[in-house]
Amino acid sequence: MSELDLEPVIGIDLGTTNSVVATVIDGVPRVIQGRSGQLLTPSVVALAKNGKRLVGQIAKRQAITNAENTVHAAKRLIGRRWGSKEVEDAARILPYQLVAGPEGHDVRIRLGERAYAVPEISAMVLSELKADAEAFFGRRVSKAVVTVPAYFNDGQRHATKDAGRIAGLEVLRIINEPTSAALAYGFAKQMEKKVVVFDLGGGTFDISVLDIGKSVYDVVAVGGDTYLGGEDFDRRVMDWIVFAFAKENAGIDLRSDKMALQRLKDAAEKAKIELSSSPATSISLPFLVGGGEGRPALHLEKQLTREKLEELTGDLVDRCIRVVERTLRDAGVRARDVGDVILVGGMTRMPRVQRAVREFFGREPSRGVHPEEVVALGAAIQAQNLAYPAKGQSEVLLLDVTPHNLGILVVGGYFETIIPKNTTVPTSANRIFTTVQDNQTAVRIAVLQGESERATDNELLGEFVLDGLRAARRGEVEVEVQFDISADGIVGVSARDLQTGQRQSITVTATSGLTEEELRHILEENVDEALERKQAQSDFERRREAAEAVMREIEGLVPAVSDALARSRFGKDAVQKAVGVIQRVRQALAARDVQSLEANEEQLDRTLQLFKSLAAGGRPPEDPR
Amino acid sequence: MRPASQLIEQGIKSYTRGQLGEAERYWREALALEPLNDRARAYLDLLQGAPRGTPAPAAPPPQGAQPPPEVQPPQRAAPPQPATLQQAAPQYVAPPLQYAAPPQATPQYAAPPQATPQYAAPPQAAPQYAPLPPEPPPTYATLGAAATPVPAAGVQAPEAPAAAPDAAPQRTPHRDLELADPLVPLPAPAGGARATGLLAEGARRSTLTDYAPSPWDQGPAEQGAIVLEGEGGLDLASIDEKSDLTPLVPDMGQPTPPPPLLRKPISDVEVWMQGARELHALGDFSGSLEMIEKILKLDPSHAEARAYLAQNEATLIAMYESKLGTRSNIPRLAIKPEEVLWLNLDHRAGFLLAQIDGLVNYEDLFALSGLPRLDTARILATLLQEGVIVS
Repeated sequence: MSELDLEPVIGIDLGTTNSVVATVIDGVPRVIQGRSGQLLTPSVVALAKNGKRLVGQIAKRQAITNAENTVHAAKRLIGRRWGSKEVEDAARILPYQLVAGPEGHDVRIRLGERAYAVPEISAMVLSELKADAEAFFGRRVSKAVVTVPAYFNDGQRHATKDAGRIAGLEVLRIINEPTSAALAYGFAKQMEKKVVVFDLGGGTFDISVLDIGKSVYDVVAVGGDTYLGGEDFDRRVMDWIVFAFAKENAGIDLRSDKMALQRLKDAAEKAKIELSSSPATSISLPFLVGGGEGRPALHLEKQLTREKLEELTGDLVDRCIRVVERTLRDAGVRARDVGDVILVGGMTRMPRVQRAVREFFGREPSRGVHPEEVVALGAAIQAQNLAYPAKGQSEVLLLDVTPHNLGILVVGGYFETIIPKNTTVPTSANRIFTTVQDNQTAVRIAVLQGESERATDNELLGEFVLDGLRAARRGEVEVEVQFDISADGIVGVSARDLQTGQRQSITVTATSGLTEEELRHILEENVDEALERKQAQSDFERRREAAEAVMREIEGLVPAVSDALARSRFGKDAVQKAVGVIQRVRQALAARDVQSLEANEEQLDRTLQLFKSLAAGGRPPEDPR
Repeated sequence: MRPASQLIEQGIKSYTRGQLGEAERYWREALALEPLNDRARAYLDLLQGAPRGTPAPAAPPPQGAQPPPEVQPPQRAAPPQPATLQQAAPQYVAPPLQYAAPPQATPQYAAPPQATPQYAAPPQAAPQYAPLPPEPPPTYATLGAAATPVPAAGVQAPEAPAAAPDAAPQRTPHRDLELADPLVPLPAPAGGARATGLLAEGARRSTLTDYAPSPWDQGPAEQGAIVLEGEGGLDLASIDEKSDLTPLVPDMGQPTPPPPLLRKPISDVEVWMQGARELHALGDFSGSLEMIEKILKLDPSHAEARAYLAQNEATLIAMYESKLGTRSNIPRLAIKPEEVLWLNLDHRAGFLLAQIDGLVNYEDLFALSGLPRLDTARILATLLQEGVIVS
């Protein structure tokens, strides 16, 4: 069986701001271009003011003018619990409305009249990427590997997997982004070294340390700042322009005009990107804002130099380096021990960022792979390995670490860590606790994850009660609490009375926030939509055939009609008009524009009737003049 | 040279902008071009406030201009069928004595029969009043008919302007006059009030004498004693008995008279509405829309205006979109980017132009513009027409 006959598989980097889809062709990983020719698809979903659902670039371009109905950075919310600190932080800065799910546990996003589960929103982005891949292959694509940040917990991974299911994808595996990036670099190489993945994306900064051995990728430390990314750099440029413009134009504040702000944001991002390859750029935004009181619209013309950009954003780069420092210190890794630094994310193209990395690590960062594409390429490689393992080639082993401390609630509301963060999974650990009251016969085991000493600041993963304890004085009953994390990241916790052997346990089963019932309902809806699409497609094909037949007939009658018209004073332009109608119908067919086709079908039929009548010796239409 | 109809439209627009002098100039020019043009004369008459019974004409709809079928202003009077009118009108005009006003206060202005609902007694009024029939939805035909004013007494009825082909049969002015006589001691102004709605700013304005004299004008009355009941409430009946004034609150069991028939001053809204109807009928949907927008600023719930708004918008959107061609077409900039600065655009057009990058199609532009569809279509059609973009 040739490669062409195999069902295609894809790797997807589902990012906070942008997403990328890649595949492996002839053994070489490559990014799949979108249907509009783009490599990156903004992870943005919107309900436009005209009611149309928009995904990707088009949604991003109206993100400011239609902010309350445009969802971006849904990744910050996926798999999160309603009321958690992360959701509260996100709600403060997100312009769209968040609501609690029906059970009150998960987060929903209001978009128009409906509240969507976060996986549904992510599924819209995944569907777009899937459609791009299907357009590329010319056939159905149903299997994918999807990447997530290394710090994602089990619930977030589960929710990402659900998003894949909703999008009609079988998610072969969820893998960590830094692992995926390293995989793309280590592909076809036999490297053994410690690698740092420096990932400065659009909205987040992640730093990961990996130990790469022969076919083994071991994430040994992760860190980052979830509110530091390329958008912060854009905002600095925007602020600079806004203040300069106000100074030059009697205090006109561009931020008060959504259209101006939208253009400004696009221009700031473009300028920032251009300054990575040239020392200066000009920002030209004609007719940016109304002049007020009937005066003409004002233009914005501004030069921005790389030097100025670096001055405006220097502290952001310094913040990245401080995070790197802290992460390496926590992991006990020295900068000089790092064998390679992989740059990931579009922001790492900025010379100032590269310089800072170089100065910190004392070595040139790797630039072999495009930083925006590297994660998706790694995912594509992994997808290929999983779907079509090569004979004789050992499977790539991806070892992950726990991104957070795992532990339980203890007396006084404190959090006791049992498995510290950055522990390679699979792993297990236990600790012995005692009762705190005389004759205490039951204990509550609340399983938490997080970095805070205060239990309430950490995330509750689950809880259970161990009862039937021996009645005794406080401190005399010993309870052993054991944590196990499987290779799949499933957390199991058990508690045992060491004297009586009484035992209770739970498995922390991650949920995406969607119940199975809801998920089934959404999938059924998707099936219905697919059927409707199929029906619409079949209807369109039937109408195409009918229209083609009529057009052929009209074209066949043209000579006879021309003869008839030559003998008349009127209707000289009948053929010309018919050609116009045929042209419009052909355009509508080519563009699969049903509305346009409908608008011209009747005219096409009338033209045929008229031509038939003329060809049969009827009178031409009278000149309306 | 511009045709008379165009000059008349220009005049209407000037008028709505408050530039009365300019409006007059346009209408005079139109009249000079076509001395027999009734429309121009009617507007001039109205402007000069000298009602001569010349109606504000309703132009016949141009070919292809579809009337707004959904125009259903409930408060508007639609001309009932003659038979209905004959039955209803005598019952309506009979009881002026039931009004609070003294006999000499007979309303000096009577709305034309087709405009009566505006001034008609409320449904709870005297039971002997036959309530006016519910207003039929004013289809285009009824609008055309409504634009035909009832000629005032002693004024020769003008030739009825052409109505829409499906317009209601024209009523005989003479018959109407008979019906209206008891309530029409003064000639109705040209164009009527609700019937045509077109009374220019400079037209004759109502004065106090036009209205029924108020009892308060007859000098101070003796103050009626106010009797406090045991519970401390006002005894309105007692006030009624001891007052020389016509009671404000009728006795129980007696029919509630309709409110005093006051002549409602012709408002800008009515003038604009008539202008909007005419421009719509002439196929100037933008002009009609402009007037409708003015009306809705003052009266956002104006039903007829809203109906015209929807119709005008739908028509204009269809017109502009037809200029754009297939909505899946992808527009491109037809000039050099540096030449954009030389255009004369507003910031909204600037925004839309900035979105045209050779990748997005018209449908996407409608979605991402954030502007109303009509504005987007208008801007794109203009950019296309001026050769700024091609598709």
